[in-house]
Order: sequence, then structure tokens, then C-alpha cells
Amino acid sequence: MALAMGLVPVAGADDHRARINYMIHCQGCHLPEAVGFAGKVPRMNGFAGYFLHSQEGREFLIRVPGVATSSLPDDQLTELMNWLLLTYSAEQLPEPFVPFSVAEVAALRPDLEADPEKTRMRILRQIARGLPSLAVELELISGG
Amino acid sequence: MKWLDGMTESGTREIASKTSRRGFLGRLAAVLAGGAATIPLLPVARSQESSNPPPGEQGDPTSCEYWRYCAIDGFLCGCCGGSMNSCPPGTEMSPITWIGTCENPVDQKKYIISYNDCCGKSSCGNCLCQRNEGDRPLYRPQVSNDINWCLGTSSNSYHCSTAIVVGTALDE
Amino acid sequence: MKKLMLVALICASAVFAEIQPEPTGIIETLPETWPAHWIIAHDAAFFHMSDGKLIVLDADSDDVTGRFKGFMNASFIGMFVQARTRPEIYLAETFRSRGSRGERTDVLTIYDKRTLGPVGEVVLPPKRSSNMPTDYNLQLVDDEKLALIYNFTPAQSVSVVDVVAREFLAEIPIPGCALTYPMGGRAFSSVCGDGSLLTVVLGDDGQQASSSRTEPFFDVDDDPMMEKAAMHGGIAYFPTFHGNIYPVDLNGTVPVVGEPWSMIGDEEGGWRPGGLQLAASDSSGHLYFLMHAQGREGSHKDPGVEVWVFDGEAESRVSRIELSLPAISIAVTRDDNPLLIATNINMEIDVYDATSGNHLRTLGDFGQETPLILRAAH
Repeated sequence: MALAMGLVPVAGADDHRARINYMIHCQGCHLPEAVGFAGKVPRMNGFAGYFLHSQEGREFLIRVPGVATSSLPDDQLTELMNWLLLTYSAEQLPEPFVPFSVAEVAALRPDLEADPEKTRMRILRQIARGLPSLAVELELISGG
Repeated sequence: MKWLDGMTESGTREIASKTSRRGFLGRLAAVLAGGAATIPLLPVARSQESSNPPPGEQGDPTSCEYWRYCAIDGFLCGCCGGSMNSCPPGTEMSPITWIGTCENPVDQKKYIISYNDCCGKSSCGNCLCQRNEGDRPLYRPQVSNDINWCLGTSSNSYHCSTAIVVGTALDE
Repeated sequence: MKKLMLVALICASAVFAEIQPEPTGIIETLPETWPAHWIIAHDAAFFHMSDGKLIVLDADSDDVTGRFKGFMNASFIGMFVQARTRPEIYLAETFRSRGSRGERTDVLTIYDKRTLGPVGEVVLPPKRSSNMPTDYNLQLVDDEKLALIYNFTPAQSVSVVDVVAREFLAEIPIPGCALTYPMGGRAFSSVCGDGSLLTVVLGDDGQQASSSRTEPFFDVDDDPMMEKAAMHGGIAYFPTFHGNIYPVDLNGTVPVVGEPWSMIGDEEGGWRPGGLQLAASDSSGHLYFLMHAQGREGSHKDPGVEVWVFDGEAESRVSRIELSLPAISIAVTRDDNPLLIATNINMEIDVYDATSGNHLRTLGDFGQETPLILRAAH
């Protein structure tokens, strides 16, 4: 929380609207507080920020089915993704955090990811090579 | 459209009279007929004792017409030993669910409704409702009530449906 | 006195032949090819889902005993498809080891149409989608060699089974997309949440060889396309909530999306398609849709009071059939004198002459509870 408050808010973003959109469009599967469900639905709380440590990971977050095929317009989807990262996974974000732009989201979402599970693990393993905290999370190395 | 009103209404009455002898089938038929018509719903899907709505709400929470059930498809947990927002004894509430919005006629606000299923026992069998406002086909699963949402529970056996207010939607 | 009685008995037996002892152990069988007017009613047993049934009925019969041919069990909202080239029916089922609880096992059960008995099964990943039954949860491709089963966990995928070798082959991810619409060769399409179609071409090992996606072509928010299509000649005719038809040619390995046309035209009354299994076709290419008037948001599953019949190629309406009772599901037999069969809101099956629209009979007494889905026999 302290970290999240330390980050610069995204200009023009409506946090309340983002929170409501999260509840209506994401929470059914990803659960309140984005905790996910082990083995069925990926956890985003304390995790999603890791993906921004690579360009491919950054793009992946927009190309996963729940995001890409959402009924939200590009601007509200962008706002929601930035809010989600800052609210639930600020600690995992790279420094500096570059928020998603509407143009970026609009360009990425038509390119739906074909095999999210496989791609996800490949991207995470790649990022984990330079990020011990993620490697511990993935149990690639033991956390001491 | 007067002729259609008449037809549907008489059709529905006919169904009601034909099915009164047939236990749950009659209730199911009446639920379906209620869906077909824009006339007041037949006295179906009501428990023996009608329950009172919580503050800020009006109506009979054991009626399919109750405002929170605008996209519910299944058995009302309030008629099964649970309530609008709790599961009956011995069941398990599915954490994974689908979420919609319904308008509360008391304050004309749109509320966010989480339709968590209660799972782990067979169909409750009481108060079957089907309403589909905002429901979409299976390719939009996050807003589809055709799905058994007993996902993430130890058993995927569907028992009944809750309608939990989890927030207030935005003013459009 | 004794003599007299004996005489009387002998006389009586001369008039009424004495019942001869009968052999025990006789079990009926059915023909390999079922008559065209036989139907399968899927009683999904909504009130006790582990006891679903696929009931075989003769829709021509007014005789209660003669019309009931037998049934197959279908556990927990089973999904089924009939083979045309083999006397087999494939049924995706879910079992739990302790009834309503316990370990879950999903299987594809293979039924023999002659005995209505299971002759084999293939264990599936315990992921198959548990939803109100549709025609497109289970389909056959590759000349009926491969069965495709839609999974939802909520991650979306398709299980591929070789039904000839009776073995599970592969699980294909279809993220953001649902169901399985059979295509030419070893291909299938799924409808996606952004209004596009995903197409997967399988290799002969059942694994994904390639995939492609169409551009989004329908409006998911303002006039959603239903997932319930009428199929004829390899073309899927998808109705939308507001009564437009998208014809999609699935004959090749790339779907060809045609121009949409309106079922409603300038007809007044707010007519819209609606129901559970609301679309059907006959062998001449006529398409049948359950229709209700005064359509509104949320009416897309309302029972239909009429069936509208269209010529799919001419894109024009052929007839309107007024139903004797509103119906939630329909099917049409595939012969030259087709029957329209409809599950009415009383949970009985109404039988109509599909050509004249005349109501012929109501099948009401076959032990049914919730016969949600109907299929004509192949």
C-alpha cells in the first residue's frame, strides 16, 4: 500500500470507475482482491506486476482472453489495468512503472493469446532469470 | 399487440390449470410460462412462508420477480435453507462465479450482484427461477447463466443460487 | 361332482387356451438404422442431474407402449452426438464417486444403438463444461473419427478423442472462445467473446496443427449472436438476439462468414428468436426457429409461440407454424415428410407435420421430467 501511494497516479484515471469495472468484469473468476484460485484462475494480487519486467510479458497481460475479449472500451480497459497493477501488485512492478497507454492496449487486444498457460510459464521463467523474487515465487529456487 | 397479450395470458392460464396436478413439473412449466409472458407471474416459486426483505429493499425474496434475481437461473437458496446471500447447511459456496447488475426499484440504483452457486448436494428443487436480463451466450462466460458455476468447490454438484450485492454500479 | 368340474375345466380350456410357460431372460434390441421418425429426448433431469436420460421414442406412434423404445442414462447434464456411419452414440458424462460428492470422473461413453448399452468409454480430463445442454458441446469431425468435447474450468479448451481407437488424444486451448462447431476435414471453429471465430486444424495425431481467427464480425454488446445455430450443408445459420442471421460456411478449414440477413423483415410485433434449443433444420435446407413476440432485453430464452421456417439459401421465410403450446426446444426429422418436434412448456413433446404445420399428437407419458433437448434419429 505504501508503495502504491508512492507511485505517480495515472493522469485522468478514475479509480472508482476502475474498481467497479474490476468487480463487474473480472472479479467473478479472479475473485475479490484479485487473489485468484489455485490451479484454476491465476492470482494477480502480489503477482501481476512481474509481467511488466519484459516487453513480451507486458503485452501478454493485454492479450490474455479475459482482458482482450472484455466488453470494456479501450480507455476504460487501460484505466482498469493500470489501477489493478498499482492497487494489487505495486510491489512487483519494475521501476519506473510505465502505465499502459490507450493506444497500446487498443493495438494489443485484437491479437488474442493462443495458449495462455504455456506462454505464461515461458514468459515468467524468462523474467525469473533476472528476478530472484519471482524465481522464489515460482519455486524455481528456494526462498531462504 | 392486444391480441398477443390475450393469447399469452390465456395460454398461461391453460398451462397452469393443466399442470397443477404435476408437482415440480407444474412449477417448471409455470416458470417457463412466466418467462414467455409480460404478465404478472403465476404464484410459483414461493416458499410456504414468505420472508421479509432486508432494509432498503422491497418485495418477496422468495419470488422470481424479486429485483436481485434479474438474471438468475436456478433454485433460490432462500427456499433451500440458505438465503439471498448465504448457502444452505452442508453445502459449499463456489468462489468462482459470474457477476451482473440489477436495478433496485426502491432507490433506482444499479447494484452489482454476484450469483455464487451453492454446491456439493444435488438440485435443491425448490423455487426454480429463470430470468435473463444481461445474460449473454456461452462465449461471454463471465455474464452467462447457462453455466454451472460450481467451479472451485470440492464437488461440482449444483444445489442452488445466491444473489449477493457486492457493490453499487456506476451511474450510466 | 368332481367329474363335472373336470368336464367344465376341459370345456373352459378349449375356449381359452392355457397360457404356456414363457422363457425368461429375453431382452429387446433395436434395429441398427432407426426409422426417420424416431427421436431422442434428452431428459436432463434438472431436479436430480445425475439421473439424466436419452429416451428413444417413435414420434409416429399414438400408442403409449409402442412409442417408448428404451433409454440410455446420461449423468450430470450429458452431452451427446449420434454417428451416421456407425450404430453408435457418443455421450460426455460426469460422475462423482459418492453421488453428489467424491472424486469426479468425466468420460465419453460409447453406446450401441442396437442394444442401448454402453460398449466402451474413454476417460476425459475432468474439465468438460457443465452447462445447459447444447448441440455444440460435443461434435464429431474427420469423418466421425474424432470427437471434440468443450471444456470450461473457467479456462476454455477442447478435448480430442479418437472414437474409433477409443483413446484420448489431446487437449486444445481455445482461450476466450466457446463450444465446438464441426468443419471440413479435421477442423473445428469456436465462437469468441470479441465476436470472432477461432478455427483449429488438427493433425492426424489429434494435436493442433494450425489455428486462425476471423475478424470480429458480430456485435457482442448490441446484437449478440446466439451460440445455437441451425446447420445445413455445412453452413451454420446463427441467429442474433434481434433476429438477424449470420450464415457461416464451415465446409472448408477456414470459415467463410456470409452477409447477415433479417428474419424479421418488416414484420411488426417485436418478434425475436428465443428458447433453449431454438434452431433446427431439415434435409431440404429449411431452417426452423422458435419465435416470440414483444422481445426485450432478457427475452432470448423465452419459449416460442411460433416456429418460423426459412429457406436458408433464398434467405426468405417459407411458413409460420403456430404452436399449440409455447415451446423451449425444437428438432426436425431428416426425411422427405419431416416432423417438427417441440418440447412444450408443460415438458411434453408436441409433434407437428413440419410441412403443413398441423399438430399431430402430444407425447406426454414417457416417464419424462425435463426433456430439454430433442434430436431426430440418424
